[in-house]
Amino acid sequence: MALNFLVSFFSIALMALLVSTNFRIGKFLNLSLGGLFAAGGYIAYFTPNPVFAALSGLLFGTLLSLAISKICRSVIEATVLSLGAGILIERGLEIVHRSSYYYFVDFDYSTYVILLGAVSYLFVLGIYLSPLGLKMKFVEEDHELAELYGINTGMIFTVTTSLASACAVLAGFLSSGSLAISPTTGFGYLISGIIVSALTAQLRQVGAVHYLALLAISFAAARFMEVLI
Amino acid sequence: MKRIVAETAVMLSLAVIMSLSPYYSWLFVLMSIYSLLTLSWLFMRKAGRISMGHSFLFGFPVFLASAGYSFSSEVSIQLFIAGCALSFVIFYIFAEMTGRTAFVFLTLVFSIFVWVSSPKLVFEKGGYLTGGEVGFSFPTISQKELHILTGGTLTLFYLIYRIIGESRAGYFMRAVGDDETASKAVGIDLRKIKALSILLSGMTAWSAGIIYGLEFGHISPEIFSVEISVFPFIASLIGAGNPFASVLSSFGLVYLSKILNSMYPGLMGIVYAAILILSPKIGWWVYVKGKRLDEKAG
Amino acid sequence: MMKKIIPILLLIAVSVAITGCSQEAEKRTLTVGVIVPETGIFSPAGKAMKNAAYLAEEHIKKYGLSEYQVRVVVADGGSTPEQAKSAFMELAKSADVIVGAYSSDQAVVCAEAAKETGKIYIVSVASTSQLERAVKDGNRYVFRNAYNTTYWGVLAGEFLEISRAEKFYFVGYDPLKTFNQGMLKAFEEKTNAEKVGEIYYLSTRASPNDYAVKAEQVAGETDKRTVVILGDPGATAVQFVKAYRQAGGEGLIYSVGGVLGLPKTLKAVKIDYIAFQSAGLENAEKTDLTKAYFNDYRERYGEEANNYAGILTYDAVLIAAQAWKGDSESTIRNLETGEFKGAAGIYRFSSNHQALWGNDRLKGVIAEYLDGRIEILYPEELRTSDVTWP
Repeated sequence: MALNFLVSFFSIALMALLVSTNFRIGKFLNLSLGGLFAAGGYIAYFTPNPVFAALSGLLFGTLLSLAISKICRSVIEATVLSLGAGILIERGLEIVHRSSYYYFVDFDYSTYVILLGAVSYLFVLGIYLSPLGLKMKFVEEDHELAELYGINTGMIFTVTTSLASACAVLAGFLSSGSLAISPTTGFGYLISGIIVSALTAQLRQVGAVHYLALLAISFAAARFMEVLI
Repeated sequence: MKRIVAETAVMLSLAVIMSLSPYYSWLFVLMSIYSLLTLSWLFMRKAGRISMGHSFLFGFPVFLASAGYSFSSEVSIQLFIAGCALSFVIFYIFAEMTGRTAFVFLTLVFSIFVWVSSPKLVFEKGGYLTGGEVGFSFPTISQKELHILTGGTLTLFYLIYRIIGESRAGYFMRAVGDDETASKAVGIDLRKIKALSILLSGMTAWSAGIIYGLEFGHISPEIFSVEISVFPFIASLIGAGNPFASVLSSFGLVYLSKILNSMYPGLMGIVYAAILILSPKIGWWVYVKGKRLDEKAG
Repeated sequence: MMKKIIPILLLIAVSVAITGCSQEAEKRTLTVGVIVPETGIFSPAGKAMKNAAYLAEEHIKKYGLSEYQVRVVVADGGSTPEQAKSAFMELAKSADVIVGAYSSDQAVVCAEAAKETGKIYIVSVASTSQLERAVKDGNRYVFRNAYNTTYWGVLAGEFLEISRAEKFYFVGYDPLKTFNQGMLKAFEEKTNAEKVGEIYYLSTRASPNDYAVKAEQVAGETDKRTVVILGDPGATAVQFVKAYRQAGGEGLIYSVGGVLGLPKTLKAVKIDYIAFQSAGLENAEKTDLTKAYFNDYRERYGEEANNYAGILTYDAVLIAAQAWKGDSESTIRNLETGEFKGAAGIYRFSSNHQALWGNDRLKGVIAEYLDGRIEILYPEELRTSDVTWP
């Protein structure tokens, strides 16, 4: 199978996974993921260090989850907060981007997106197939009941949001070699991710089955997005 | 009633004052378009549906009308009516199909989908390619006529909003907005109320869309942008859901964006972002203040 | 309630009155308003346009190009028609002539605003034919010094001719379909080269990697003797070219320019070869201002000058300065009949107020980028090389 198609498929699948985990476990639609993806490109340009990229994402995700836990009381409030954070990142990047030229990096690690996507899926599937999977399913299906049964939902929320943010920044970092870096680079990835995860949600599956379905629909989207739009 | 008269008087006074300079007249029209959009959004929220894809309801009929205008005024009117009907049906189906939370996401995703796919509409007319990323021409009227039309439309829909708000239908809408299950239990026809709120919301948004077309003389796919969808949410947040305060906050936001962006390009975007981030806090604070305001006035 | 409202209304009335009065001041200066996309998806080009406009202000004084004291005022036109019109109306308060805006939908809305406000508007980037139709329908206030869609096609046709291409493959950008199909129509009927394919990749906003998938398809359907005409002036074109080469594509790529027409970008992305068009290049000296524009821009802003949106915005300010006759009506007559010097050549306008690109004194430039250097392929009088086939 052609390499470009695989990169395309895993880029969409990865973003769909991040959107989906945030929504199902974190209980909000994380609209800052697009901005984080773009930020990954800028980190690649200014500080070409993937560890720094991942750590920045992790830190941002932790702060985001703390802010949401502190001041939001509903899915919608949390989603709106993340939208604000996404806009803020994009505006920040516009200020950082001082040149009249697009930024380009010397290296091209875009094929590693395939690896990042595959590892992320294996990680999530691994968790769902492990004893921890039952707890995760519980959180997915009934957040409040899970809390009553003593599951630390706050911790799961923070870890999920932080890891998803780190993955988004890292994906942007890795993809930067094939992109013209600009503050709005991540928008399309985020939208694809939302569309794929919304379609998958219609199947009403939970746990590992849901994530396998997500992978299958990402494949179809990469192949037929042109027909869709 | 006194309060409604006073509020209407303020709006009309603003319309008169702002007609004195061409720039402020233009700004008044733009502010009013966004105020109508906010009122439209409030109609839907009254029945418990928060739309994050209001740009579709606002833009779709006028987008079709502008495409039809390439052929003739008759086609334009027919397509506008079809667009109104279709956008109403789509939002109604969404409201029936989904719960409150899913409605937010579905409208958001759907409006973005329309935004990115609308440049597909391209056709050849008189040897020229029309549509696509450029969009379509729309008729215009003089600034004076537009000013009067806009002021009148805003006042009319504001009065409709207030009068309906105090009517039996408005009471039912609020009840459905507060608790659908309880409303159903006391015999309120949920479908009718949802359809009514979407219809009223649609009528306000469609009128705003037409004025938008007349104001710019052109409609492009950017009419479906996320910024337009998010605007009424922010305006009503600042206005605490109070219709008069929301109209004023719509005016304020449009004016503020002109001032801030001329100070530093994109500064309004940062303010928007800050408002969204702090919205849960702001929302609560403004809600409490708004309640007090309502109680005092009541 | 009314006690609170009356002071607010008074304040608004006073501020409106103050703004109105300030417009009445008598002046011997010419204020040129420039709409540039400082925010949004076109913001990189906006920086180049802004810099070029300020450079034009400096050069007008330095080279004595106007009898007026010229002042440039910039407003952010963002990336939507609404933002562009807002910028126009803001500038219309103080500017005598307004230039700029980026995309075609923005320019169309600004043209309408020009008619409404009676301000002359010079379009320096957008190419839509709707502007010429607007002039035909009676909007005399709009002029365009940028190419129209047809001229983009004419240049692509010129390239097919000078390269003696036998076949070509057209790769368009889906969100710019009207522009792409318009230019394709302009050269398709005239060229002898056979069209082996036509494809459009989606915007990254709609499908982030569609360009890569299409690049692979085009690579499979083209060989060394095919000219791949790339109709996307935006950043995705760079991504397409990289993906095309990565997929083993061997065709000779001709780009309509834009981002892929910027030598600095070509160096940065390490593209081996590309042919492209631009409105002006440093080593294609069309007037004495060509070198001045490129040299002074580099000196002043520390980077290479933009050769389409930048140079044409620079020229638009220069045209406004040379044409201004104290009021809009006299200036329109002057623009309709006069000649105006810019860095890209000598401008005259057609009856549709379109700059007459393609005549001896105003031609686009086709160049090739090869091993880090730029060679001019067209126009003939400036040619430094023949097309280098792979």
